[in-house]
Amino acid sequence: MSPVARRINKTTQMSITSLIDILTILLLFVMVNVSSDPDMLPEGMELQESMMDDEFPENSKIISLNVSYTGLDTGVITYQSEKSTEQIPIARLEEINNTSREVLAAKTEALDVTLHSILGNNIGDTPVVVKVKAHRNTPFKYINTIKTMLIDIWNNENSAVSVQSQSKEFKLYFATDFKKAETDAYQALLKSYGLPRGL
Amino acid sequence: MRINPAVGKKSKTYKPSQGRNAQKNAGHQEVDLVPIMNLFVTLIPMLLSMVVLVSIAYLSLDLSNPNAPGAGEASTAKKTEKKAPQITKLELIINKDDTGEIFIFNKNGEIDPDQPEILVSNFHELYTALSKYKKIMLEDKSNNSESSENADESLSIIILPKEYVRFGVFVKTMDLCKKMNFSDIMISEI
Repeated sequence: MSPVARRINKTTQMSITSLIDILTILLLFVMVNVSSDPDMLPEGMELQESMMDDEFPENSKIISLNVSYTGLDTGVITYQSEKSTEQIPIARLEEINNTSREVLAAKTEALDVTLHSILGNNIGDTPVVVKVKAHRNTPFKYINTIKTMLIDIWNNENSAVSVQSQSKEFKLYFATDFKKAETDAYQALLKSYGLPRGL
Repeated sequence: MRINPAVGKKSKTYKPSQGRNAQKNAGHQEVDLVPIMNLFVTLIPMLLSMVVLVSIAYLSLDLSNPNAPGAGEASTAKKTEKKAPQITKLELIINKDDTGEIFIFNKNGEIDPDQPEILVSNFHELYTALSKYKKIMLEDKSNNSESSENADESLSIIILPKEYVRFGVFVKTMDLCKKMNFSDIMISEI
């Protein structure tokens, strides 16, 4: 074998040790950060950034509602199961937009039946938490309609939820894209709010 | 290979032609990394697809109705007022026009003439305005209560968004109010 040929043979074998090192570090990093939390966002939903994180009451029954807004007063309210990421439609936004009192009452009744099936029987005085995830561009009126529908259900003594629940109050929480303190995103948010640094 | 009778060990003799084969045999000791590479190449995209990039938090909302009969009125009658409060009810109206959202302050049921409208693009000005009102409300609290220790706990504000105000702007406003220690944040309709 000539000296030139020997040199070529030496360089043909690629060393993948460094690649393995990188992949190992990546694998560990991803495994540490991976979340099995089913609390996922529907595809394409952008939440508003926030600095606050409120905790739910302990032992509360949690219901997740999603408001997917597709623009021009169209969209859908869905219920998200806690056990899976499946979205069950409750009402379309165009159906509750500027609708008559009777139609809204019918939708409220349908929501009551859905909530009852989610909460189950004999929930007693367990606090009920309704989590609402909505796209940041959703008009406020739809959020307000959901709020009104929920209040109507809880205030109506004959509603399926009220019959089973001794608790007359529920808490409404809105999902946000949480920025942790001491991160660049938090500082940017602080600046946009006009809040002094270090708050 | 010969055995040296004087030493009792095998002694190597010079065999230059054997060196060629020795190098070939030693080369197979390297660990085969291909299976673990295959595993990594499968695992990493799978985990990357599962990773949560947005950490979701939740903001609570007080659903108590500020227009309910007697709400907030009963306690004020019992007190012997030392000085009339400058702000009895603070409302923050979020209006929307073609340019975007506008913030307007309602003081004691009327639009505050001293406070100009704030555009959503100048959101940082909302902090300055809220700070001003908070200061006045704290002064009112300290004038009308024996101890001003708990004064900060009962600062209330009513947010009144118009129907087409973007939900994100509403949440941002609520977030700022919470960060500024307004404890009773209520929403209502215009």
